[in-house]
Amino acid sequence: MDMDVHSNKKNNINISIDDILPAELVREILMRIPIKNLVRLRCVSKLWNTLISDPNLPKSHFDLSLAPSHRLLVYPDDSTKPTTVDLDALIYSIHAGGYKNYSPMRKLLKRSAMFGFGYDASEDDYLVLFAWRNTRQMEDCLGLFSLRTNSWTTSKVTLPKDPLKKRIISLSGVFLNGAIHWWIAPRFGTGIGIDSGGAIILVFDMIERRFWEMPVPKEIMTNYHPPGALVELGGCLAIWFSNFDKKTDIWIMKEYKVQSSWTAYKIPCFFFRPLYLSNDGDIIGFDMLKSCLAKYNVNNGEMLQSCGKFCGLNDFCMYTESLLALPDDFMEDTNQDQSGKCQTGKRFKRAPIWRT
Amino acid sequence: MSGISDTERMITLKTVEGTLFDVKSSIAKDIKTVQAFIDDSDDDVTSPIPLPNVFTRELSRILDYLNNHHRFRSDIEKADEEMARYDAEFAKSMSHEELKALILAANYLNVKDLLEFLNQTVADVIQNKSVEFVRNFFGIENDYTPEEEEKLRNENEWAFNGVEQD
Repeated sequence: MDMDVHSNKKNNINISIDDILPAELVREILMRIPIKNLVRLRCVSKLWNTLISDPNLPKSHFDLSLAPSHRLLVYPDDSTKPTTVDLDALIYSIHAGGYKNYSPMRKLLKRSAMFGFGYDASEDDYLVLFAWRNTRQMEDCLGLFSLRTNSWTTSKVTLPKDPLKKRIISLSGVFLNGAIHWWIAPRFGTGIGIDSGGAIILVFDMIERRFWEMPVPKEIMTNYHPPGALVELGGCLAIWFSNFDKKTDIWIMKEYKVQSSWTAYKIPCFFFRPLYLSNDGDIIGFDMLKSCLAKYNVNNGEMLQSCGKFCGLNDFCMYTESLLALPDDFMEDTNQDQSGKCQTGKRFKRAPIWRT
Repeated sequence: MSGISDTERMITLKTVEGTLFDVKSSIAKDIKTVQAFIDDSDDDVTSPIPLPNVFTRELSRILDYLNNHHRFRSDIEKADEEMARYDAEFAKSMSHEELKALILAANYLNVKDLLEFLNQTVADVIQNKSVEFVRNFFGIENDYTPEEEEKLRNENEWAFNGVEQD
């Protein structure tokens, strides 16, 4: 390799340095810019518009996750318009664009069922999962809906410890590390630890398509008072519950499946439903008594900020904003909002932000 | 890396202006373009390696960065904290022009970690800024007609809230 081949460019060096950066470098920089700002930068020049509109950019931008913007999508109790909240800045926006309601789920939910939504990396498929008890035949059933094939498969399954009958469970599961997790705890008043260990976390492995049980450390159970629930915080599985000291206890499993990694935090708010933990240790959650979103420092419990006013958190999901387009059949009625303005670039997809 | 004594082989690099820099071979390994040159040479490289696209100011900064990072890495305990402090100072010490020149040099020399850090630095500078600021920053000429730009801005109106003052 002769590096002197470049020397004939010597005369042009000043221009190339003072001029614009090469497109491949600009692209590297764009990967690190959050979506909203990226959309604005389309107006810089035609070349930039081309770079930002490149069909390969959304996937790389999302996969590299160098500038993820975390948002919360809320369907309020009073059936007003869905709202999104920018969790990084805790800024409340008025409405989300279009959204699609998955009506088959609503019907199924009338049954006593556990459900969850997750991603199977081995098949690159998103699955909706239901597990319910067929009371007549006394057997448990598992239903999986594949978004890839747009079809249901059902099978018989044995749920460990009969969660649908004996215990309170959090119906909706938490997807994390390629598995869906449910919190299964004794009913209030039955005492804790009566039947060997009390609560467990029931896990469904998306790839192996089987259930298994994850034990919960005794320390958690000593102070546990229902209701408690599982949540994904900062890529970790966490359990929260309101304590008798009028505060909320949050236990975070720092390393997946490592029992000794469960760490306790206390938030000085009675009914604080945690939603999001940032890398800087700020925790955002729903203050159920004041009906607002609140941000605390998870380490010292200092209250930092609050925003919004919700009638209640009926239904919500967290997502990472991305430029990825939804499959065509999803997009039919989502491209125009009430004002008729096109929401170009603001299409989002519920995606596994917890992917590691 | 830190265990290597004073006898470590040195490599000489020569910038556009003809300035010579002696570099430890362990540092040169991080400069992929230089390393590729060494690997492709049959004999030991003894004469200075010419870097026809790199100026003295940029090379000296790059070597400063690499030397410091090597030093931090040898002390695992304090590495992250000191490195973060050094990086922040490093980014702050440059003007926008210097930053751009350094990116081009780091790109040409293929110094991966530094390039990623610099790309992030630029992204942090421009991400909340106006379209006009970004054009100025990169020296980009606006090639839209006023009508085209107006249309694009209207379509993406939601993205124009919360822009910082330039």
